[in-house]
Amino acid sequence: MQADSPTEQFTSPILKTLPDPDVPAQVCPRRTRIQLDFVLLAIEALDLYASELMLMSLEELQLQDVIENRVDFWQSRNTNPLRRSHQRDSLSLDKAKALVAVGCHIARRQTAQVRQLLNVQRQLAAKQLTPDHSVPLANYLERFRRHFRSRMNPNRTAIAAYKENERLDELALSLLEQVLFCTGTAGMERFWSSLFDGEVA
Amino acid sequence: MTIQRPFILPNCTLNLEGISNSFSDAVLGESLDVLLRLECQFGDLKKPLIGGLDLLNSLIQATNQCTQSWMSGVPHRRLTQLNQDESAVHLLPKEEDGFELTIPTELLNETPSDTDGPVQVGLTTLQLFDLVEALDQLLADQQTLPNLSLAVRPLSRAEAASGQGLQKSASAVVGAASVAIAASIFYLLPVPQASAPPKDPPKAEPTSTETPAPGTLPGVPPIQVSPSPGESPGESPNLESTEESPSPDASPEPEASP
Repeated sequence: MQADSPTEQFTSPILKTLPDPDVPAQVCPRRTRIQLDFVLLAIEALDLYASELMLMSLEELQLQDVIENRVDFWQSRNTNPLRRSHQRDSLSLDKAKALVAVGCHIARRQTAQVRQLLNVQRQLAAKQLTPDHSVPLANYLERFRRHFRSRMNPNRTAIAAYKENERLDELALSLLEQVLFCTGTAGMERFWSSLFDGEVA
Repeated sequence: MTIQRPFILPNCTLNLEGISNSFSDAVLGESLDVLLRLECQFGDLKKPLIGGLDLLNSLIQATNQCTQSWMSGVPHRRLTQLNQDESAVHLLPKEEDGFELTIPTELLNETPSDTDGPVQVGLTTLQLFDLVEALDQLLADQQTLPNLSLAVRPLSRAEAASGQGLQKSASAVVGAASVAIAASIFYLLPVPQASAPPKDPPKAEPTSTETPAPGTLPGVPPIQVSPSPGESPGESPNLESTEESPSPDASPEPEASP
């Protein structure tokens, strides 16, 4: 009878798939919020429509109860303390799970592109050529730099370290490799788990 | 009859051969329950490696541990200790780029003829991803070694290497050290002597051209409505240098003073 109760709240299967880590107050630590936002930023740099697709996939993945709309999505991203528009709100585990799920969902659509970019980058590095020699790679790096600089607070020490393009390109390529691992069969679980390394009891 | 299950990715191929010890499912087919032979080809290997369940288990553990730490950037504190176990597969990131996989010959059915020691395999990030993906597909396949499982979990604070923490908190350490050094320098400095107040009250300001309103204390800013009754006029001229002399219009009315 309890199952038929209209007051019982629906829980997305994805929220049950990802375990709740043993973190204080059951909210995401600082490193988790930064890392999660950075990986989503890399996904957005791969595809101009990635933000819209992520919002659309909230419904597809039955996560609209967790992140209700565009503003909620934006506020959840702004829990990254390095953002210009950072708000001192906490990020609940459920919202973080929803962000991880939509991020991995979109990343899977970009698998071929990510593999191609990493292959090109490796070939260029073997010839000791800079990434500018490949148009797709240069486009990704340029978009990532633009997103990063427009959204992150340059007054924060952690962001000031990426003042030079070379450093920021290294970060973009490192995040691209992380996006690759998000595309795998267990990519979502692996990404979720890695966000809490060294943060759990 | 043996069952074969291949897991093929662009940079990695796993071929499993085994037998079933359960009834076959009408839809899913036979389940591979007992592994007899594992053949894997990945990275810069010239010939495929051949082993059994021990090799498979060791590969899963090593790739999981390294991938997890690499993705988070938080190294495992006991990774060095764990890598001293010479009977297990080790996977470590290289100094420059990529990863190195070390496979002890005890886990292999056939030892490569060109080497006596453990087999070393270099992997790029893409090659590592394909190996991890092939193993994850195998783990997710309920018809292939269904008893095999892997719990992906975050490293605890105790397991996370302290080096990373030190690196991240370097700025805090530098800040604390700067405060300590500054404090010790200031401790050595002599205590400044307070200058004695002038014994004679200064005369009325000779440069002042306007005469304050009667009863108004010289030098008191206009916004200060009520000067302390205990204050003597002689103590306030120091303020005169920084403040404009109050005009008669703007000065507080003598009646406002207590």
